[in-house]
Amino acid sequence: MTAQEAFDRYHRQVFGFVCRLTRDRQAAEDITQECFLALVRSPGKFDATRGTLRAYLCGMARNLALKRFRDLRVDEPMEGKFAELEDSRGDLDASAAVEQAVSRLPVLEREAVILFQYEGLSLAEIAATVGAEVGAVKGRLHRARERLRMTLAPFRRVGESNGVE
Amino acid sequence: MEWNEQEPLSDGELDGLLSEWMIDAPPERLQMLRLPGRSMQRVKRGWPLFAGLRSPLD
Repeated sequence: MTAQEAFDRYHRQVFGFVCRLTRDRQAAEDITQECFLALVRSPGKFDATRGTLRAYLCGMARNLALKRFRDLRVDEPMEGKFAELEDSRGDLDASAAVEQAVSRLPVLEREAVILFQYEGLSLAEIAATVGAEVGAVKGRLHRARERLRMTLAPFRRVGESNGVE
Repeated sequence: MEWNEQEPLSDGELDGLLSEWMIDAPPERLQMLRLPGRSMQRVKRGWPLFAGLRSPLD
């Protein structure tokens, strides 16, 4: 696969991942661009025996996001804190509630949820992306979902409790 | 929208709620890599938001 083909296939995914991870579209644009420029410059750094290309790209995007916030000395966006939602009922719509709840997860749990739930990566791919063991990723994902079950409970839709419209 | 606060969400309920968080498509300028004949340097110079990342990465 050429860098061009990789861009066509994965740039939306990389952008979406960084967007959700940082909640910053401008950062997501920068980092997505930088990921693919790095792939063009040094395609040999990708080793297919160590994981999929999308896991490699997401891993690079993750590292760039972390570096960006370290450089800018921005602490809060990458350091999630588990807390009650600011508005646990009325004014938040479901999308905003989910965004806020996910953003307050500890960062290692947050990235696991985003990569699994939204980007469709397997546990093995997530492990390769974040440089952890599969078991550790599984634990992070489990803890994150347990937190979200509680945090988002006030946003359960009446009449959809069994997933039936 | 009507809400109902009860027990922790089930898997299905949680997955349903999580699916509500959508991200708008990336801006068209992210398609610049697709332009034929445009070198990476030109892409780099033509990418205004990229300037902020140049110093720590170079």
